Amino acid sequence: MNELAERLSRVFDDEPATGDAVEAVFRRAGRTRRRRIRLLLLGGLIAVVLVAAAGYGLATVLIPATVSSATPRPAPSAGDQVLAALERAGGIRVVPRSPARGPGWRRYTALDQRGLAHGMILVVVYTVPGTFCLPVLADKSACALLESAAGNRQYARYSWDQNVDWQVTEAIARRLPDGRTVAVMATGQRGTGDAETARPPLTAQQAAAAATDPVLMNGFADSERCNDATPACPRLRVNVPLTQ
Amino acid sequence: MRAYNRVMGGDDDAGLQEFVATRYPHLRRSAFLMCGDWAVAGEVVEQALARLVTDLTRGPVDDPDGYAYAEVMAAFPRGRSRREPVFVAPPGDPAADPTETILLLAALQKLAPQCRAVLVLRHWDGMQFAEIADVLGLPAERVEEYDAAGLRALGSLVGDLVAP
Repeated sequence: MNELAERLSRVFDDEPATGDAVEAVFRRAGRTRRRRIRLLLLGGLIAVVLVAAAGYGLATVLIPATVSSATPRPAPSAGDQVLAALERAGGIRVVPRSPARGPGWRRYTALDQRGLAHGMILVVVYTVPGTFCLPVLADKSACALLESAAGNRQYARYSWDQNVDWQVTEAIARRLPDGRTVAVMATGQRGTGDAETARPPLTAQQAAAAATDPVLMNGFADSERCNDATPACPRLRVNVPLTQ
Repeated sequence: MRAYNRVMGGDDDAGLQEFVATRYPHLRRSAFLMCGDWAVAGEVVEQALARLVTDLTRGPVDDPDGYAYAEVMAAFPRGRSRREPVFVAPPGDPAADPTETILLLAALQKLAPQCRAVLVLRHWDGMQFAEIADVLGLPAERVEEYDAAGLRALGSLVGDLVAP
């Protein structure tokens, strides 16, 4: 031992006893180990939460773009007065259904409370001047007795609810001054054999409420009409008589 | 004075206990020379050895002795402390003269921490320059420079107590 080491050793004359220092070392090591494990678990938990959040975010962004036709993506109601009138009359949600529109007609899918497709709604407009004779289902030679509605409108409504494979409600309304006529037809799911799914999304009364709603008619331009029975115009269960 | 420089793994519990029990007193003395306070020295060594034990339970450590010394020395700041330490005579034998102890500790504390660490490791722990370089993370040449400068400074501070 050199001189410095020898002198340094004298500094330790009053060195305290080590006591339980060795046990303290292992106790502290145990605490450190447990803290590291907790941090590791916490890190893993945070990673899981982040991955789940990222997955949820991605799913929220991507899934609506790839949803099947059974759950059509809801379109904003703003701007589509026809859609707004249907939703108001039926208390339901509807979305455009491709092919969704043509000159004089619109087509929609009704959604149930789960957001699943539940039937279809067709809205078709015509211009029918002069007298107006809507058919009576039980008597082809008779004209239906029309009911009156606000806004100087008349309408008739129809319902086929006995067939579990295809149930239909339809209302045809006419604005008297100019003969502007609108037909609203609602059908349930076809061929399911289940009366509940075959039930149309609108009752005949709701279809009539929509057909006589001025807002719905305003959803069509004046030039739009299906008078010419172009192939693009969809067929109705009860066709509107265009000629007397 | 270094006793262990073999690879040590976490499965050797008895060996680990022996290592800690053997090294703790000596490491605490080295730490005491670095700070002049037994309580601080004990805390620093306990923390360093606990970290070593924790790491040993996760896998082998090449040089546990070097690891422990490095942890202890790293616990002392490399910059100079603003506070001037004051050493007083420890309670003990009234016949013993504490002057030399106080002067030596005060002189050590006046040295730069790196310089002090080199002197402690070299002249108390008996390490070679290359080992000190490993522990402190310094080039060996710098360690030699610190040693020479430290001895000169210590000689000037405590006079004939230290001969370079």
